[in-house]
Amino acid sequence: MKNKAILFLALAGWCLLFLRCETTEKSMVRALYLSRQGGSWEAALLYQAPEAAADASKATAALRVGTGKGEDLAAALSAAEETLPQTADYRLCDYLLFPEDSDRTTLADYETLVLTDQRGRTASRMICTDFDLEELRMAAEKTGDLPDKLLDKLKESAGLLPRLYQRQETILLPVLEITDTGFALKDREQLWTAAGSKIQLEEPRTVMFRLLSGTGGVHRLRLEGQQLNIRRCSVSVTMTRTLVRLRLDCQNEYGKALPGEESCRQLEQLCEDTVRQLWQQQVDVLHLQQAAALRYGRQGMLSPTKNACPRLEADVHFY
Amino acid sequence: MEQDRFTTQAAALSIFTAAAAEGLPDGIPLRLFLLKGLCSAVLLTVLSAFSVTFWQGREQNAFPAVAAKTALLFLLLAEWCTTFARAQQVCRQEFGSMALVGLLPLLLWAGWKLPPARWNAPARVLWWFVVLGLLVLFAGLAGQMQWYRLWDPELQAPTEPWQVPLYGEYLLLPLLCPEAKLCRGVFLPFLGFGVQLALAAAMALVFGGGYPEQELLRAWSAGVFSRMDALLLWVWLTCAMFRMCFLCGCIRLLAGRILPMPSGSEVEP
Repeated sequence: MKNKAILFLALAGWCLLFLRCETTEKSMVRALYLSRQGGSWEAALLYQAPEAAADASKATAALRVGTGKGEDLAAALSAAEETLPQTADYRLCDYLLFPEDSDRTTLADYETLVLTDQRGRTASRMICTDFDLEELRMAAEKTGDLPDKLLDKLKESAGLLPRLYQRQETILLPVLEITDTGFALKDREQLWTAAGSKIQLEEPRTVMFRLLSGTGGVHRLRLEGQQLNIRRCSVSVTMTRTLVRLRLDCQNEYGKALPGEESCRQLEQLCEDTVRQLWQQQVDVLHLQQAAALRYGRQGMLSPTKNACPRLEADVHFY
Repeated sequence: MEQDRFTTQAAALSIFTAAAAEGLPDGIPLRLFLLKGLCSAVLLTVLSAFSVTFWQGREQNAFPAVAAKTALLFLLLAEWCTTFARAQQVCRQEFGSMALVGLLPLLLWAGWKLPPARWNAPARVLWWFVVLGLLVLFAGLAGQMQWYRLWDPELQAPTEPWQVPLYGEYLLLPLLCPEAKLCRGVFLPFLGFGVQLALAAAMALVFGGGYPEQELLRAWSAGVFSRMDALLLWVWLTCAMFRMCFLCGCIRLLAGRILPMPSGSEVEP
């Protein structure tokens, strides 16, 4: 009996040896701004520093910005982390911001850091900014709730933003600007092609790119004489060796009149022009390369770098 | 006698846990993975069926049977160590905790002391958690899956040799499970292959390759919830703890067949 009690106490002691009491009060990083300036890096952390545990009811929601500079990305982030009141936690870091003149190496460097140090995640959503860190800091000092507005805007636009793991694909990046009342998305957006170039896309082509690439949300498009609000669009591609037929089944926004024949014809024309123009710039928005490889094998492979754009026929239907 | 055996559900949960944490071959096209994995699963099923006839046909004290049991004992010990190392790594990296080391004596005690039949009910409950977790995982990743990522023109067949995980459960079925369940049990290699294939397909559809498997859990998002990986990891950790106890029970069963147990230490039905 005595031996059993000693054994029980020893086991309990062993378990308690590894019991650790750690505070859950951490500075939760919600978004990250990265900028490469020549040979150095600048980083800003948009964080929430609760006075209580992050999951407690007393936690405050106020967001703040901490900034840092360094020789490399890790040093810049560490410098920014030192300005935070508590240990930085990147679990809820869902957004990555960078200036619009950044290139893919910035993203590659950050992704390497994510995979080695887990400072963020590869599924973070990305957005370009037309402001630099200094402008953001000054604006935040002027308007106290600007960081909150920034996070709200990012959340609102989340559906439009590509994810970090898509950095090697062709991605459409919205550009964020500071306005008098907060933040807004610019009309022009940047298309980063898989080949490595950047293209500025105007609004109708931006919307068509989104429709063809299956991005969610309501797509608003102004054609001659009519405003179209498309809630959902399914794209069907039928391929032959000489012709690609596209069928777009668009769901009209509730309560709006169905677009007429003329609008459908204009949309078809816009669709064909967009696919053709992007193909010439080595962007295969419909993934015809993969579709051709599935249908005809390696012999029938299509490539925007080697082949001319196939003949297109678009057919748009609303319901 | 039937009562001191595990059910095939318990053995299947153990294999699911191991296969879910097994790394995928680097940069292999999904089609090649499917073909090679299917062939491997068929071969393992044949091996498993052979093991059934081996255990049923031989005298248990004959030298080949004792030698096979000893070899399997070391295989189970190696599996136990691998499972513990993986679970501990998850605990330390994701939760910053050494709690699993603290729980180790309890797990060893429970696995060694409790009769195998006691683990069958927890296995059934854990399967429900696993199914629920998989549904939640799929719901959070479905929107990020794109078919075109399955096809990568630059992906070549890997030059590294094809490796198939061989779990002790495949070869120990007649000793672990009741005879009535053996017909279903020999197909357990297909479960391991199915888990690996589902993981490979999800990785290819979401990332297109080139990322560690845990990023799949971190990529999960649904509406206002942006992270659920901790919950899913908890489900796997619970399954890993179950597997450690399950393997302890297997080791005890096997050790009892190799060496006569001292009186009073027999597993109670």
